Amino acid sequence: MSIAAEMMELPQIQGIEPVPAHVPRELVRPFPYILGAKTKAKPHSFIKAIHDGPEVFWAERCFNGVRGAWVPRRAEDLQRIYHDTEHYTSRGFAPFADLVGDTWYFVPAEVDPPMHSLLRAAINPLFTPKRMAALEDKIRVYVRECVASLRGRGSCEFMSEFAFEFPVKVFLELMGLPQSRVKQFLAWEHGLLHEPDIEKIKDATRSVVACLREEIEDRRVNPRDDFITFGLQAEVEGRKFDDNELVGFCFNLFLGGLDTVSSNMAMQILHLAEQPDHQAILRANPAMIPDAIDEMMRSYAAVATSRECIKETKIGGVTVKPGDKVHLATFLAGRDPAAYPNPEEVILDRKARHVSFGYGPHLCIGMHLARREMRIAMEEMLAGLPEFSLEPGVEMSYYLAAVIQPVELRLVWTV
Amino acid sequence: MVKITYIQPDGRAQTFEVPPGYSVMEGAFKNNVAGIVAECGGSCACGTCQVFVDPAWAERAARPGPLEQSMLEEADVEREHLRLSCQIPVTDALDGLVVRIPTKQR
Repeated sequence: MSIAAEMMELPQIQGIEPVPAHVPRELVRPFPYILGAKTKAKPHSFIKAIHDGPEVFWAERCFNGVRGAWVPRRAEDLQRIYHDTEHYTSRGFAPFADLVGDTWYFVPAEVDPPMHSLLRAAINPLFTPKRMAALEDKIRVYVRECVASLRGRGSCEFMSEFAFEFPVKVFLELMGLPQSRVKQFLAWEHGLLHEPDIEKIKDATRSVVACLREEIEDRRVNPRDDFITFGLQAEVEGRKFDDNELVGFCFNLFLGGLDTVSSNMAMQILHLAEQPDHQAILRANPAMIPDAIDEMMRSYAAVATSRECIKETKIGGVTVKPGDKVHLATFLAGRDPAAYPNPEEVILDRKARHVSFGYGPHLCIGMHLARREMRIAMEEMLAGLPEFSLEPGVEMSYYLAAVIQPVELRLVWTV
Repeated sequence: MVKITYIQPDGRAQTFEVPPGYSVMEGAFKNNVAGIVAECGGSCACGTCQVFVDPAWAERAARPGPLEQSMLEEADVEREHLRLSCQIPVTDALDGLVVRIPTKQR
């Protein structure tokens, strides 16, 4: 599919930054994955045309809805840039603190080496495979309850009734936050990631920070066995986390753990709803589910992050200057024809590597938890429901950024 | 070149000549040794390039740093010499190194 403007609903806003003078005009290309953009086309259908274009191009508005960035499309270039902490900084990859004039930053996502290793070493014990394995039973109970409550109805709206619901429950539990706040947290998450209106993003940011600060102050006096208390007790270079690090640590967990898992899960279930043959294969062979999930994470990658150039360098022969943003869209890399033969096809046992969790030192710290959540969700959906498909006659639409995600996903099955 | 032997869980052993400066993970990866995933590409971030270092060699390999330790359970490191192979630089002192690959990486 070509990248025609009529395929997308782009938010109209003021203050779009002009293309910098050093960017060759012929490299300024259309890019649909802009904050607040929606489409009724398949969200990954624009990617093939992008791979017919240059190895790297400039996309207006792709950093925070206002600012432009370089977009490399090849898996090899993304891998190299993820590793290259000499020419690129991770600082400023998320716009939220800047938008509201705050000084905190994501910990560890926005921290560069050598401090990054120290912070990551302090935080890693929260996410070891053993610790995540201990959550298996709890996650399965949440998912089973959810599937059981839906079964008899013969239909569901998968996003609101499943995909968001249980990762939020797991997250709230880990953070030591009350389950009664699920709806509130989902509303904030939506405000941060899918609102075209920058004022709404600011409001959501302020609300989340206020809530996290309140919880942090509570744990100072009432320590518990949860991630916030862990953050208060963690040490780096023989000292406790400072205020910016604490807020950034909690905010990073908040943003990293929710929408991303829900989006990937939704794209996977959507694929199975549209491809009954694949659904049947995985029903008959649940042991294939982990590889199938990785293949769908490659094919339907949802997340993009960014870097900022700090020392002049090149991507595919094009000069990147200090201050330039570089948009690392894992969904482009996942369908790079140079890395994956026949990239549009989902081959359940392809067993290919992908960068959908990132790569290099900043590889998703919650990867083991995310894989577990997605696997249990698919296992229980297939075990607990008969063959499901898309509700006929419903036109689907999708958010194209900050995370690719169906707006709604209506499933039906025979009761 | 440094000889390194990688032993699969089923006992099958493969020996390769690995250039100094590589990591033990890269030695495995470039020779398509099964069972070393190395999802992060060697940044001590994924914990999927685990190997058991033969006790006779454990002392000669560089000790795990704090970041590597944080990725592994302390008891496994001490008792079973479990390491992340991306964090073991290949040096001439490791000529003849034997590592065993666990049954699963995650």
